[in-house]
Amino acid sequence: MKIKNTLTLSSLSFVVLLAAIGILMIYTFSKINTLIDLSFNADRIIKDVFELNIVTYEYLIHHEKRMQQQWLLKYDSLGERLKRQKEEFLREEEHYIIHESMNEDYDALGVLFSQLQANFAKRKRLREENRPQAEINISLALEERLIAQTLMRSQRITTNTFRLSATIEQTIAEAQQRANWTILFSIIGFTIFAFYVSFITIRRITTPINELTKGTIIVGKGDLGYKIDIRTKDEMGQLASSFNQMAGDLKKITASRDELNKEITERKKVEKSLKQRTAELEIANKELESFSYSVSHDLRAPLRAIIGFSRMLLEDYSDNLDAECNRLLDTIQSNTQKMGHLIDDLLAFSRLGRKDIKKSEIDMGKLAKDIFKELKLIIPKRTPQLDINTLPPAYGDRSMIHQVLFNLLSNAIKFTRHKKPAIIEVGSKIEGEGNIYYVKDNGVGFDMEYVNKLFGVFQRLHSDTEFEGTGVGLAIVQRIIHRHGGRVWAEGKIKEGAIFYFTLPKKEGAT
Amino acid sequence: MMNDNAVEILLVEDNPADVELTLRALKKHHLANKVHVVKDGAEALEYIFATGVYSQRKIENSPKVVLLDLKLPKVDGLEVLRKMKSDERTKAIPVVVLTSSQEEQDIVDSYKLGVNSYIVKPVDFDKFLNSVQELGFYWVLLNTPPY
Repeated sequence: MKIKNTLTLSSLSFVVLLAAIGILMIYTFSKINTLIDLSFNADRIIKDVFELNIVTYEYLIHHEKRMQQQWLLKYDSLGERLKRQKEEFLREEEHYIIHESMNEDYDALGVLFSQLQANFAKRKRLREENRPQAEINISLALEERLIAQTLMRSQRITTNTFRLSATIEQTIAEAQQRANWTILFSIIGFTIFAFYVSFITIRRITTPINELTKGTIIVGKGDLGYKIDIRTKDEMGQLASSFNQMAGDLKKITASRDELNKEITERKKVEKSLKQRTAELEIANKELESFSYSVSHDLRAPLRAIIGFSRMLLEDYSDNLDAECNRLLDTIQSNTQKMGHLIDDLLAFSRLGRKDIKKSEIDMGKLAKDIFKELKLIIPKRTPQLDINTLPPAYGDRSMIHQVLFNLLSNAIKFTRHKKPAIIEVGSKIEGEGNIYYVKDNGVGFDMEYVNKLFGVFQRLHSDTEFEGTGVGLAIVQRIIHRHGGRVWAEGKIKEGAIFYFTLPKKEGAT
Repeated sequence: MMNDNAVEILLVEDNPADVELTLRALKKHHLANKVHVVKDGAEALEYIFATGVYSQRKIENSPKVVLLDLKLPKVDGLEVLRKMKSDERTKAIPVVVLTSSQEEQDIVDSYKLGVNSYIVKPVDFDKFLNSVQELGFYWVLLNTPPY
């Protein structure tokens, strides 16, 4: 049973017991009071009887009406008291008998008094009628007899009253003793009750609490598998099982937390090795860059010598050389020059990877116009038509973007060489986060099948005799745009032309 | 030993092919016989400061211009430049760096050290000739030297 219920029950029992004892005590004490009352009553009866007799005598002496009335009063009062006595104290057969006797005596007293009255009246009459003394003496003798009977009756009432009194006193004594025993038992009962409650408390509350305390300390120290052993089906048991549940849950949480920690450590390790790899890659990249730079750089000097010396040959000895010789030397020259261009382009391409980007706002429209002016100076005779639409400003490295537009526009001009009229268009579209710029031409175009090769280094879709070039221009464009975080792509149709698109992200934070 | 007064151009170049091409270009302006060639940085310093092999020279008889390559054996071109520009006696001598290097760092360092001009040697022979000729013309004939 639950502790709460046990204690409630105990308390209720206690209250009930207390109530019972209370009622008992009240009953006992009221009984005692009644008895004491009766005792007093008995005393009063005796007194009343005594007074009655006195009044009787007084009456006999003075024969006043007043005395008669007083006697009646006292008689009635006595009667009341006797009635009361009888009503309230009938314990045994014996008492009944006594009461009957007392009543009989009482009635008799009344009768006697009437007889006394009658006798006195008769004597008075006799005296008034001057009857002989002998008759008066008879009356007097009757009076004496009546008085003697009255006294006897009174005495008997008194004696019976004494007897009753004694019984009452005894009863009082018994009741008091009973009360005493009740008090004693109550004290014992309460003591037992107190012990019981302590017992309950200890056994059912304190001991489990100690167990719990022990348990919390053990679990608090880290042993989450410890189970508190309280199996009673009460509040303590519930507390214990809740606690065990909590410990179990904690264990699970701790386990998953440990797992997470392990995972975090793993990830940190991975992150660290990734960082290392990135650093290594960066170093490798830099080494590669400076390697390609050195190679290109060191290749230039011998190239210069080849070109220069074959030139000197041509200049100084051309008279002594035949056409074939000249042609051979020319071939040497032109090839070496080509190699020079290749190296320059390769160098430029390599340099792009190492340069820092310095971003600023660029007026793309103006840039396109300026570049076109530059390019026009190089191409002889013809002027392609250039349409420049409104271009939104771009945000990037000015010299690099200049390079991009330069390469795209010079390509457009180169590949529209055979078209009349050559139309080149520069425009833009807005799409989401960035701006799309395009350079469109109506030149020789390209086959979309080879679109993936367009931006490769040294990749060409035409031979040198058709269109000169090293195949680095578009690779440079792609590299620059990628470094800015944008995209490049192209569309083309053979003989009809090509469009080259590139995106540049908008400035961070700008709308 | 050359007559000191005749030397107007000091060419510091280790590559013999480049030396020949440069001299040929200078010849076009009839400056070739006024050129003295040294083939490394150490020899360049000895010439400029009139030490070692050139201790017979006088420092005051400085050339009108020094054509300086950067990639030199023994003493590096930039080191020669630094030494020249930090010495009161030689710091006014015009120095033109004539090199294959287009490296931004080299350019910046050279100007920081006080180079007067930085020319990148083109691979194309014609262009190279033009550059050298213009150089020679400018520094020797056109420009007024400090001395």
